[in-house]
Amino acid sequence: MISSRSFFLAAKLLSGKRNILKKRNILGAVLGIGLSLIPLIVVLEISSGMIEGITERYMEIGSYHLQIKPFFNMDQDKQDSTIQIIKSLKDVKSVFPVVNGVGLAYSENGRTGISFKALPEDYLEIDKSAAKFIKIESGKFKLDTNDSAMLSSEVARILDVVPGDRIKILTARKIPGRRPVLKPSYLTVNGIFSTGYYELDALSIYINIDKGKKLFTDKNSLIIGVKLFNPFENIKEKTKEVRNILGTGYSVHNWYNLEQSMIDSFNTTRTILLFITILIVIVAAMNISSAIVMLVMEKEEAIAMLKSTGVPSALITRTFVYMGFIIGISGTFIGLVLGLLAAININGIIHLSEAVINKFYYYIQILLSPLLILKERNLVIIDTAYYLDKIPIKLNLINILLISTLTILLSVFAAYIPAKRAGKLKPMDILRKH
Amino acid sequence: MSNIVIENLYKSYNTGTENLVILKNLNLTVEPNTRVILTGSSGSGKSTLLNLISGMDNLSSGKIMVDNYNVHKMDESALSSFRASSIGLIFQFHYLLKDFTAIENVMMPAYMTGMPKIEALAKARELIVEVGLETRMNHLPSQLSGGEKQRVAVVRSMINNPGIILADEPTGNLDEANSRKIEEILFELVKNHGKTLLLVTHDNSLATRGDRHLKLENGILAEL
Amino acid sequence: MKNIRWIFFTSFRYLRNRKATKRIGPAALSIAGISIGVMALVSVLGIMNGLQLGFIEDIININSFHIRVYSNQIEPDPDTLNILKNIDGIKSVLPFIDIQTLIKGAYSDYEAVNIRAIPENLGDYDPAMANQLNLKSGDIELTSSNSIIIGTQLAACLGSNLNDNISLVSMGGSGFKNLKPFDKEFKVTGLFQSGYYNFDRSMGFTNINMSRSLASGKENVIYGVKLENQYRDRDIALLIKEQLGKEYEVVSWRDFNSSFFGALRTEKNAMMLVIGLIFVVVGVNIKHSLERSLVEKKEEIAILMSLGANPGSVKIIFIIEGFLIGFSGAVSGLVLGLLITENINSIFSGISSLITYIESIFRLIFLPLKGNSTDAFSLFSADNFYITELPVRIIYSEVLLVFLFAVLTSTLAAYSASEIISRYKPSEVLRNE
Repeated sequence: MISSRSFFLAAKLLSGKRNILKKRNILGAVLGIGLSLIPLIVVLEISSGMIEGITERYMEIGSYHLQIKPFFNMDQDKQDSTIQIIKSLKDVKSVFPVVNGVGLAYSENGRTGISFKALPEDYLEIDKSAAKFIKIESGKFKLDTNDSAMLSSEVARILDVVPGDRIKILTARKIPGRRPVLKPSYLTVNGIFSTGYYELDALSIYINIDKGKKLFTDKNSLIIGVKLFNPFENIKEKTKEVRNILGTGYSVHNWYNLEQSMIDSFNTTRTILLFITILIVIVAAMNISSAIVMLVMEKEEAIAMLKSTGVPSALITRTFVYMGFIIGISGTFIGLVLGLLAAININGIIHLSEAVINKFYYYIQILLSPLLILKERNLVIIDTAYYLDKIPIKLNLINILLISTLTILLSVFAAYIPAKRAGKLKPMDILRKH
Repeated sequence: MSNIVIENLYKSYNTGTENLVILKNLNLTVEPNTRVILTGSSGSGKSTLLNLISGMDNLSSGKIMVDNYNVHKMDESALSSFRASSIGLIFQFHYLLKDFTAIENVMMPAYMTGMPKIEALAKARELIVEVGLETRMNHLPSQLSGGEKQRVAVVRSMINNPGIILADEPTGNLDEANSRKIEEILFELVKNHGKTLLLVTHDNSLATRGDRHLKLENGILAEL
Repeated sequence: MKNIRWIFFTSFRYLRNRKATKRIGPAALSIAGISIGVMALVSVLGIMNGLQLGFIEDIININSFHIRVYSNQIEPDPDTLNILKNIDGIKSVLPFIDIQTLIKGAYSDYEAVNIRAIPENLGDYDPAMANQLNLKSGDIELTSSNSIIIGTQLAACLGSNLNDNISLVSMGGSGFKNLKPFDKEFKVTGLFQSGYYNFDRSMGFTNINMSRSLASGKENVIYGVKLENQYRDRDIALLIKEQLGKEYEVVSWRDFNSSFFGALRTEKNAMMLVIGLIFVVVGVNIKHSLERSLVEKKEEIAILMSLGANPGSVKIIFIIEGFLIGFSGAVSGLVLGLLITENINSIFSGISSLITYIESIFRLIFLPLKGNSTDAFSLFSADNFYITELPVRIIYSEVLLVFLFAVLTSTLAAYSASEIISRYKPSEVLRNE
């Protein structure tokens, strides 16, 4: 369907040095599309990156890929054999026991509620994918003794402790029919860690698994965490498989069940953001319609003369549609390049903006300072308390391809209506005017 | 009525490759209420001279005084008001505003200078009746004939009661019959309302109808 | 200016004739563009404000107050209270002590909870906070020494209801070495639902007179101050420091919440910037289409100038057109935006139903490949967001700003397009051949 004739016509109509204004229309339309694609791509890539980043961290450190909870009190032998059984399944990468509980932590200078995770001492070797996200800020990852403790950076901050300090913890053990047993004990801070996402390690403390079993004897505290090689494929089937092989007495959940509401809320926010950025592209497409209409008006005489020499309307229409296509492609190209550049360098861009604004902030504060006492405060655009500390960008080529195609189609469609009207123009009406 | 005094007027164009001299050392004095016919071959600078007098074009050197206005010492906005109040322009092409009716076209210059719309319309009406276009006054230019349009252009030039009428080949686009009519109307109006007229034309037969006959040749003005 | 009437006369005549000759294509698109921009901005602002303001009010009224005054006292001091209450601009003062505890219902596990020990009658001290807590059942008064008020979410976790007993566990004593654990039974005398998940899930209130046994020596009295005008926090903070002395630390709500509120503000600003791009794109479009029509009208403009109009007046004729494009776009966008915002919940449920319907049709045709959920598609699911419906709040000054910005963009675009009029010389345009 690509007729070389209409293509040449399109090229001819677009060139020509006579009227700079006309060129600026087209350029404006191209830039409009380009500009409008930048927020779309940036939002798409950043939101995907953030969601994936947060989800991944939860999957590796919070919920694991599969979680098995026994409905009874598991002793060490049963625990070992269960772990062996699960390990035998294909696609299982690692299996480990975890004990969860809550308690209070006290130091010389601070108090806070905390959430315990009791792990095997070789946890980082067993679960390499979690090790990827656990960053040791100071000290060492050491959970070999009963009083070993790894604190999250937030807990360390509230308690104002450093590796080597001692803290006192209080946990409570339920005994049915009797008052709960309150057990204070001392722990030594071996190291301080963070996972990069505040919410995840907010009040976290890691201790040795045996210590955990002593503190939290309730059968609900022990779970078996499972990591798979491929947690995204057929997760439902794999969950079923584990259920079957274990039989009754266990509940098995996968990461999707456990984190579903969080993931859904992220996706909803993302959808709304995307919707809004798509709106901008639509407005830019309307620009194209406008530019084509103006081009048609500009080239009225030429069209009339062509039609009176027998050139069919379809060719005229196609020529202007090609124009829209060319605008669409060039605009999309510019938008993609700039948008991807912005997305890939987003961390740098944010830090730069923060730095620039803070520089001015300083001067603004000085200007306003005579009457006010201003606190030393720096502007932070992306606060690690609410977002990841570094936005991971993994370019999703399929999405990009989709966006490009849709934008080009949109441009062509936007050009189509004025193009059709151009084709329908009556030569005599126009020539009479000139 | 106004008088025109031109001293040592010199006008040239720089076309990039050469310097074209249109008017050389032109001197002219026109008394009020005089009708001057200006002839000359094509490209001799007749239109240019009119444009210079009205301030629509810039001179290279010299001085043009209309009454007490030094035309080329005024800034754009002063020139606009000067043109609005003191000069009536008639061109070969009618240059009517196509979105407005005949009577609206005529009253426009008056409305622009601040005259209330009703008063301006009334004045316009008088002039339109004077040239016999009463039945056509609410028509758009697209609905008028060539001769009718030029008639409207003629009376439009007079609405603000300017002292000078500059007419550049007003009958150039019209047929014989219409041309005669326009000439009649023009001379009639100028006489009745007492104005100075500077009329550029190709038609040498008109020369005798005016008070003076000037010829512009090679940038030099000669009186006949 | 006496000659301003003719400008409007001419301008409106041109606009009227535009409609007649059907040359309204580009103009209609420009108006639509502005309209979409305004509509999007108004709706998004309405929703964001609704969500954010809800949080902010909760946080300020319940947690951060306008000013927090940290003391070294173990019990509230009547003198301190008096001094604070007498400072001009201070509306209410609430002394409280924050204690970290573990809490457990009859059959549940332990949860970590932040207990805020407050005076018996909250309503007398800080009516705004009493209001914001939004008590669902029971009493806000902590009449007995073992009364406790907890959030509905916490109650659900603990499986406890009004009048049930719960036990609080903590470590008390003086100094790190002497900390000893103890537990105490409390009775749930009230349930609150502030709407802010964190509070409803991990906060409880007890009587301040009981707090000494719960405290571990590090918990000192904090005075929560509310002001008549929250923006005078800096001045009043200074006053407080003067009157109370150096041992008291004074923190304003701005600094206390700086990172959260900062994040909210950043989100809002980023959103406005992004949507504001629409105006840039449309502005350029308006400029070009007006330039175009000015080129078409070159002769008309030259005629007007030869008749005595100065270039400035002629420019105004066309700037009016730009203004009207902006104005009509802004008005229609405003109406649409307000409509959407007011009816956002119906719109969302409508869209969700529509998509579910379409999905179900697809499912009939294409068998589920990796069907994860058979739930209805929900654009906004209450469970995920801890609110039953999307709150909206329209701040009229913001809406006005958006309106003005839209009109300004259009008018500026027209102004810049009209610059080419200065380049038109009547003598060049009106030439005799």
